[in-house]
Amino acid sequence: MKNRVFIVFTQIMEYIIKYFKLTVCFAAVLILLSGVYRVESSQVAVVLRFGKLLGNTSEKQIKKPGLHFALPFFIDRVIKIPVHTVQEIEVTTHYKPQGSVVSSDIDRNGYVITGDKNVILIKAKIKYQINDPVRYMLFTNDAAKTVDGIISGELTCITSHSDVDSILTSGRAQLSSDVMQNSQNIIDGLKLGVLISGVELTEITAPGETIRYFEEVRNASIYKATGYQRAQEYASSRILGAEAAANVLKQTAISVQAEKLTKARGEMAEFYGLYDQYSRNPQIIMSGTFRQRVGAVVKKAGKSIVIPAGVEAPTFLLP
Amino acid sequence: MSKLYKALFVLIFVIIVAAAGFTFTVKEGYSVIISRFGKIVNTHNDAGLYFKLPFPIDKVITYDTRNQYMDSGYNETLTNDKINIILQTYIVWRIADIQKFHTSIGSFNVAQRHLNDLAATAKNSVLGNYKLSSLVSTNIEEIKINEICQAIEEKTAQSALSNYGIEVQTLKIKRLALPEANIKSVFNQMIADRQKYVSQYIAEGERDAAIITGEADARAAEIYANGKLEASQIDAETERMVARIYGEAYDRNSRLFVFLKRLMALENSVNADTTIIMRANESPFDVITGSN
Repeated sequence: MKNRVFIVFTQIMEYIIKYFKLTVCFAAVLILLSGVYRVESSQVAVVLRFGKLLGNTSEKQIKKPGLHFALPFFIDRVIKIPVHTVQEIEVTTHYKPQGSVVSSDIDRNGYVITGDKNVILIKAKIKYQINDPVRYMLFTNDAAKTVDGIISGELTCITSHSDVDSILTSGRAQLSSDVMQNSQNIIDGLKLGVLISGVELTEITAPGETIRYFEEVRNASIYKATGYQRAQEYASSRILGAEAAANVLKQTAISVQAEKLTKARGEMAEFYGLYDQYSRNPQIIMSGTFRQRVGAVVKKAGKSIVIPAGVEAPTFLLP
Repeated sequence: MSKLYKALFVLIFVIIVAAAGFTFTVKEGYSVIISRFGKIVNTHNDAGLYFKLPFPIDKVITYDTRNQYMDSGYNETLTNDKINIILQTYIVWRIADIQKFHTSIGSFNVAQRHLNDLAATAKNSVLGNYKLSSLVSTNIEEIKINEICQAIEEKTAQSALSNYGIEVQTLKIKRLALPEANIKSVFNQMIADRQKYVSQYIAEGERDAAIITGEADARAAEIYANGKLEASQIDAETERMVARIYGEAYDRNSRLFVFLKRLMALENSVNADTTIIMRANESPFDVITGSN
């Protein structure tokens, strides 16, 4: 058994010696190829030759996406940096979940003090990109942690001169843009190589101990708004109702006018119709008209009693 | 042939040993101290390849000289107006003088502890000169946070550089907090403020609604009264026009007009329930009796 292993080993060694040139060449090719690297589209790369950054200008230092060649691994070290990737961090320095009690242990709570001495909790989401890969990669130890600290600090400093109601309502957008701008100034001063692309204040809330009272204020403000709304609705329906009633009065008067005028004109049309005849022969017209009218009256009346001439009129007992 | 191979092997081996023992690299963002039997003989701040004597003669000590971030501890400090406030700062720092850093501190943890102590001392002495309203106020004129940060930074930076070879890049406030006793009174104040708002909103809501409904009622009454006035104006106009129509006819012939109007009045006053009693010898029945 032992003998057999020995035989195999010597055979392998014989092969290696036989193909030594080939083995050496193969190893050399592998070593050379170890310097070939690919930079993805979302990245750039820098090369450190014996630890020193290769290239004098930033154009030469930064390798763009594509296939590149560096010296073998023990001479050149390639560092790839995801410059086009948007990085995201959540800043929770000033935030503890809703309903929690602000504890005496300062390390376990988080809040900001506003200018009008209220305490509120703020959580922020920060988006940033690397805009100077050399500074970011080679001169900063922990960029994400530094950005977190700077944002936390600016949230403290800006809220400390704002009033709580504006932070909770209309001043929110201003706060986020101020934090972004001030933080970027500090980052630029430190040359972190980072560009903040967004500061989103994902949660701004009162601490658990007081949140009920903030809710009450919100409810009261809704009460005020709906009361106003309801009053407006009442006002518009009341005015519309009055306008409608006034209009009815006016329209009634107009239609009564038309009716009365029509009646008067109708009656007088008869008058003028008779008038010409009358001026020629008044007696005939009067008696003719009289008969015609009385006839119409008799016809219209439910009952008519004719008493013969010369008979004394009977006595009627009214019911 | 095999002699040549042997020589080649030996050469490669020698090169590897020499490279490992006699050279070292300094990476970008790092600095190196060469200590020979414990004594510093050289420092390298620039990246690249350097020579040294092999172990155990020369020892290579590498330090990270990139920007470092640290949070300071929480310090309860008394302001000028005798109010306790808890202040936490953050510091971005780096090793500027590697030799001084190595001899005075030699480790990052110790460096951060020293920096923390320096910052705490600076905080106490600087904040004693400012009122609380320099840190927390709605009046922007009173706020002096930048001035305070700068003063703390300057004090810390001076000592850090001269004592430890550390350069403070920036020092700023990270958190402001209140001691537990004070925070309770802040909560009470906040609650009182909120309750004030609640009653204010409710009162304002009711006042606004009353104003709007009151104005609407008055406006509606005015509109109705105007309508009524307009209607009575139309009525008056109607009467005037009717009177004119009758008047014109009356002027033409008053006898005929009165005669016709009387007949019309008679006709209008009669309905189906009316009983008419007439004499046969009077018009129109006189036709039957032949009395006319």
